[in-house]
Amino acid sequence: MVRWLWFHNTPSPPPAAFSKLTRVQVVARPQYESPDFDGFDGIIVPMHADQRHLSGLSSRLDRFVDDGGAILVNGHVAHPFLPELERFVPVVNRDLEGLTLHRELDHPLFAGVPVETLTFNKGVAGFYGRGGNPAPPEATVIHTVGRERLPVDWVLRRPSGGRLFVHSGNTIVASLRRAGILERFLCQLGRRP
Amino acid sequence: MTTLAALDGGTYYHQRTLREPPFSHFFDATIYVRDAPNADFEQFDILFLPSRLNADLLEPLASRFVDFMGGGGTLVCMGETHPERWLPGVDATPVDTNFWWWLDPSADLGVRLTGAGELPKYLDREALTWHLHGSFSLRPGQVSLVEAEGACIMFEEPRGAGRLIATTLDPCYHHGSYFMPATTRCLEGLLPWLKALPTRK
Repeated sequence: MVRWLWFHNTPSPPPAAFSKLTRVQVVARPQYESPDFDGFDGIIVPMHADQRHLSGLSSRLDRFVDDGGAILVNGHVAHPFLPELERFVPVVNRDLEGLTLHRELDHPLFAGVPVETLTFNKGVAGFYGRGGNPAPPEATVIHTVGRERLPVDWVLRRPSGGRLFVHSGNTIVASLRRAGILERFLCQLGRRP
Repeated sequence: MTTLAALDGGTYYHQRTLREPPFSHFFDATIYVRDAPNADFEQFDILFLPSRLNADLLEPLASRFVDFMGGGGTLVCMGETHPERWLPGVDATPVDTNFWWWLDPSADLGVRLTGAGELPKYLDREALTWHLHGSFSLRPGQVSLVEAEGACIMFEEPRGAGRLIATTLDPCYHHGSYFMPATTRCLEGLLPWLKALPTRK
């Protein structure tokens, strides 16, 4: 069982899709509760997270990755809370071409999922990503967006084995569920080396 | 000059809406929501709760907000702050949001300004039209400012020496997310309207 911690910061419950997972457990905990990450393989930072609070936890989060954990960051970085994070850069021209995703390389996390299915939600582009959280040189950039090819999805592995996956858009869970890979994705990313 | 303070939930969309151009200059102060219990609201004329500020964090502050309005302040509750859960005298009904209604070119979300007050000088229908999250059932004293298909989605109400303004529209979240240009136009009208309200008595 791969165990993820979800930093909860909304009055509505976490995604119902979590309750259907069998090989993954996602535990939702109010964000401001004690930052005890023991027993978790990964931490999900949803788009609605209080990043000012997270920036105050940066040394603990950094240590969690150095200890072999995974962090899945969602949303636009406004208050960098890990050394690899920089502030979000938006697409300038948000027309269809500006909101079209590009797959920069095939990656096992998205195996079998055509990039077009991520660009469009009921025929409308823009839900998945409208810019990028800049990727450090050591990152593997999987998806970019727009003419500028800003990095929407990138992943990196620290020498310790800890992983960081950054999704520069609305919380990726709904997109992964629609693509049918939510459980596989959380297993692959969360499994400790 | 009317002073406007906003609570900041620390999210990326609050950061962009409250603390970055083009709207940061409308806010005389931003108060981090975790500092709010000890903050002095009374020095401001208006307290602005931006869209999607976590209602679970607002609930313990409810009596402070009531006192603020009682003393002459104006409390502004934007969409998805759910005042119906923590402020007495607010009745709201959520709707399942239709994000795709505009794919039908003949469709109309049915948003209309009621004509009450000064708001129509600052906002038009297009600047209020993206999607809906719910509506209010008005109580005596509550005046509808904006409606959608006849249901109130924004009202104002005298409270004590001050007033309450509440809407189910969530422009701060979408502007802050670089999503839906109408939400930026909404804030371009809404914030000057608030700044033109009278100072507290």
